[in-house]
Amino acid sequence: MRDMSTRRHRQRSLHSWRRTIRPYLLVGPGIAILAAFFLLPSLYNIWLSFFDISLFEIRTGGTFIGIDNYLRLLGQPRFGRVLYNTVFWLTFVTVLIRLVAGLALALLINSDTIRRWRLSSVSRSCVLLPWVTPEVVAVAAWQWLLHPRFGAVSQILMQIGVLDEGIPVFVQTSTVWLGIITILVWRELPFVTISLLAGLQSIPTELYECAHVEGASKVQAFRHITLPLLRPVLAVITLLITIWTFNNFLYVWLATRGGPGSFTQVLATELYTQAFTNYRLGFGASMGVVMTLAMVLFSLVYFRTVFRRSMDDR
Amino acid sequence: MRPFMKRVLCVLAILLAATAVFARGAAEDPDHVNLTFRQNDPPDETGGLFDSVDEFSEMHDRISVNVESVPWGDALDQFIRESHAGGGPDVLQLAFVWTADLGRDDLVMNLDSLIAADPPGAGLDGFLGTELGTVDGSIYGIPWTVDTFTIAYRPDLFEEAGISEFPDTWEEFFEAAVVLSEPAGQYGFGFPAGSGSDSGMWFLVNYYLWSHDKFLVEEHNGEWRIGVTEADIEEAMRNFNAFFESGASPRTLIGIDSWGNPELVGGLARGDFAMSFFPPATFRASQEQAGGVLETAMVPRGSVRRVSHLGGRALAINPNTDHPEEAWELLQHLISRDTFEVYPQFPAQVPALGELEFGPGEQGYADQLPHAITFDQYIRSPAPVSGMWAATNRHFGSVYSGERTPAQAASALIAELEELLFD
Repeated sequence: MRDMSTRRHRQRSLHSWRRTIRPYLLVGPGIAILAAFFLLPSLYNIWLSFFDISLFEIRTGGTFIGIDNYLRLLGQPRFGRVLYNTVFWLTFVTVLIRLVAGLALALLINSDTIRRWRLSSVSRSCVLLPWVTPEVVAVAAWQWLLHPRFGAVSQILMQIGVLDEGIPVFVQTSTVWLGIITILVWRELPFVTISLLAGLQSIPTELYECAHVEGASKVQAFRHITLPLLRPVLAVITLLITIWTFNNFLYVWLATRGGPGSFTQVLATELYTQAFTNYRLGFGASMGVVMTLAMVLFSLVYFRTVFRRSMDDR
Repeated sequence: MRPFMKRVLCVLAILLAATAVFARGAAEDPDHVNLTFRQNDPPDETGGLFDSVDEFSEMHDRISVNVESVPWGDALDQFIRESHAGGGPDVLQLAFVWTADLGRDDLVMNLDSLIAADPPGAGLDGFLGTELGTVDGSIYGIPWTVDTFTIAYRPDLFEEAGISEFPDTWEEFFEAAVVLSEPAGQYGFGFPAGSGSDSGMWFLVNYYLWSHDKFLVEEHNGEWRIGVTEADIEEAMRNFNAFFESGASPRTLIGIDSWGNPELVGGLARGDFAMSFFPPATFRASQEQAGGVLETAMVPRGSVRRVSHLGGRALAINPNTDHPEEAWELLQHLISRDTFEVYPQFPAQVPALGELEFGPGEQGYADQLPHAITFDQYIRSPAPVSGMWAATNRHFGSVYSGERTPAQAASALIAELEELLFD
């Protein structure tokens, strides 16, 4: 009798132990993968940032120099210019344009007129087209389109008499950012548009009907119904595209490689130049750490202010 | 699960495993060696290289060679990453200026023992530029091809412009470029003026400085120092910027890094440009498009001399290879006379170079090669050549685009060179 009771007790405790351990077993592989592919490389990058080490010396190791790389980075006069390019031109301007244009496009696609003309599916597919184009192809195509001598845009503008000669968009300081911003916005706009369209379609139509009955104009309905209810979606999208754009390397590198001169150099391209052209791996690593810290700081402030308020309003 | 189903699944699993094992065994003959050779040239410059590699595979029953192509711009970084991770190709093509940097950290194999056992070609003394692949007396790369840049031009456009003699000095060269730009839609000089880290602007700048006996960095009494003043750099910047300001070169060139860009190669062939600046393989591509009307001439003379760089490619073996002897056999084949019969490059071996037949319009290369010097001084300096290369292009580009004045850019370039040299 006692044996049976002991066995039952053992089985129960084994069952209880299994129940306790199961969640860890389930999430364990995921955490292990995250640690192997994200945490360890990040820690290694932080470790490298304290060394004077060239690309050739990874196996042999460099010289420990403490925070010298950070001091040198922050003391470089051109770091301010690179930071300004990254924060203002690459991130702020393109995020703002994408949010405004994305909202306008989403409202257009969601409008009664588009629905009445049965163009909803076609317009959604058209909006998605740039998103499915690889970045490399998008940049190459735009470079050809905007080529001052052979590009379609220049040819058309010259034929209709707007221009006397083509504008070399990517080699003039007055136009180069316009070129990069055009490519980036064209390629990345669909994400914002489609996300906001999903947000718009989740707003109950009864709210608009009530507002209409109460005599609200379209502008008032947009201001007091659409915008407040879209705020959570807008908050998430803004956070995501800001982080993605701030860290983006491809558009600037493929379009101008940071040129002409160093006029469009951003943090990601400067990091690449330092680590893989000047071979200063430790210095490049310190730039990577600064970029990560900047985005962590931005995310914390954003969460505590805009994001939390948007969620509370909901 | 029912016992029958279990048995069926077991049989299927055993069959699958056996098939995989036998298939692998059949595909992999233990004596068979698979080598990977990596080259970096664009397709229009590789000529019969692939045929020569195929010929090597056909001559060796137990060796197969796979040729990989990686563009020059990515080749060094990619190989370093692979090498640190224990991978990479068995045999690889390198720019002359990379070999010593890689050799210093044993990222390419020390070839001394292989050379001693089976010397390449007619012996190591017969190769040009071996000093560029030598570190502490050991050889890490075998010079494979040599080249230099000359000015390629269209004699018909010179004739139309009434210019009978090819310009001799940099000043005459600029004046001729302005005259050649007078017809509508035609430009005097097309050159890669991009700010990219591997832009061809680097070569033009150095030819100009060297012709005035100035070097970006130089060794003086055993100490390294900056070999140019801000005034020297500023003057060079003003002179090259004058091509854009006078309309002798279109501003679109400020965005072009590669001398092989279709706008330059096709531009000279079509007659959009009267002159351009090419290495031999690129010239041949342009000559083919132009129908054989192009000519070449030596680069302009400075206050001291006329000079260009003796560049080229070396071949090296990856220390991670499992087959160093077979890799050495492949390397020997690639530097052989058989390969150069189908591979349209200038060999780095002096006897073979002496027997070279220059193609139509290539007299400029024949004249220029004896005036070419290597980047040896830069390679031996503590400043990485790629860093100096990138900084030079970037600061010259900042003048062309109007971002900085020549004085500002010259000062910034000197500061960056000092940082690269002394930091």
